[in-house]
Amino acid sequence: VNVVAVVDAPAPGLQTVAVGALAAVVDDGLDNGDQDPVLRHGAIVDRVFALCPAVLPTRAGTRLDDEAAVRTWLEAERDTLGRALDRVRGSAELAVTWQGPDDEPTSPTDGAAYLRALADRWSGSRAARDELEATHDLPGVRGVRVLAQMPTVVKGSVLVERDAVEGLLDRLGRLDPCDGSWRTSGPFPPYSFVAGDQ
Amino acid sequence: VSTTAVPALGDGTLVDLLDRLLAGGIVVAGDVTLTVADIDLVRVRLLAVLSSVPALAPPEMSLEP
Repeated sequence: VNVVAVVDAPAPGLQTVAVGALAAVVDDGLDNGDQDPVLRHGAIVDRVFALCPAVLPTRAGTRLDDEAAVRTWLEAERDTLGRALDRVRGSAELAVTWQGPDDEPTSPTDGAAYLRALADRWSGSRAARDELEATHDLPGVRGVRVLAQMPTVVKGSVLVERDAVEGLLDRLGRLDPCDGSWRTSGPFPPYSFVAGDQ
Repeated sequence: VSTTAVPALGDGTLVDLLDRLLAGGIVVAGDVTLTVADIDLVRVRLLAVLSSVPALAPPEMSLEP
């Protein structure tokens, strides 16, 4: 049985295995070869996201032996899943990416210059990371996660209440460029907020 | 990941979606049979998680500055 997501208020039309209020959305067609399994997983999660207020996408390809194993897993993880569902309830994820200048630093002439060049390479991305983390204080934002930071790229995700998405997208368009540029996309199901605080 | 059935999304959106779909890794299932001279010797049932090291590493191993 392929497990695609966990919800606690399954909508009609979804194929689920339920234990109490918790339900795992399952799919028997992931191996049919007609569609890339990862993209099919994403498409089903999108559908669940459109129908249910709280969705926890699973890792693509997650498979358990049978429906009894799914029930056993839901029972064992009931508390953890319940907390995670509460964390993402009514929220969506926006992807936020900062792209810094690509120009390579000039070759340093001595050790001090080398260390300065090294520090300078990170200064833009540090400022961008600070700018991204500060979005936590914007209306409707429930969480911010920095997923990757490199000298010229910062990738992050913002968890925002669904009815505040439009306003936040507008606000994100006015972030300090930090000598680079920002790109936002979404809303997505809350993939980056399934796990607890990291 | 094959190129079939790509959803109609903007380039950036598709990249960001795939980034999130694959960030925690994917589970790959399958069977491997080791055969010598047409005789099946060992059969292994695989259930593997493919992921980047940072995605599965504990926080203290973070590579961020």
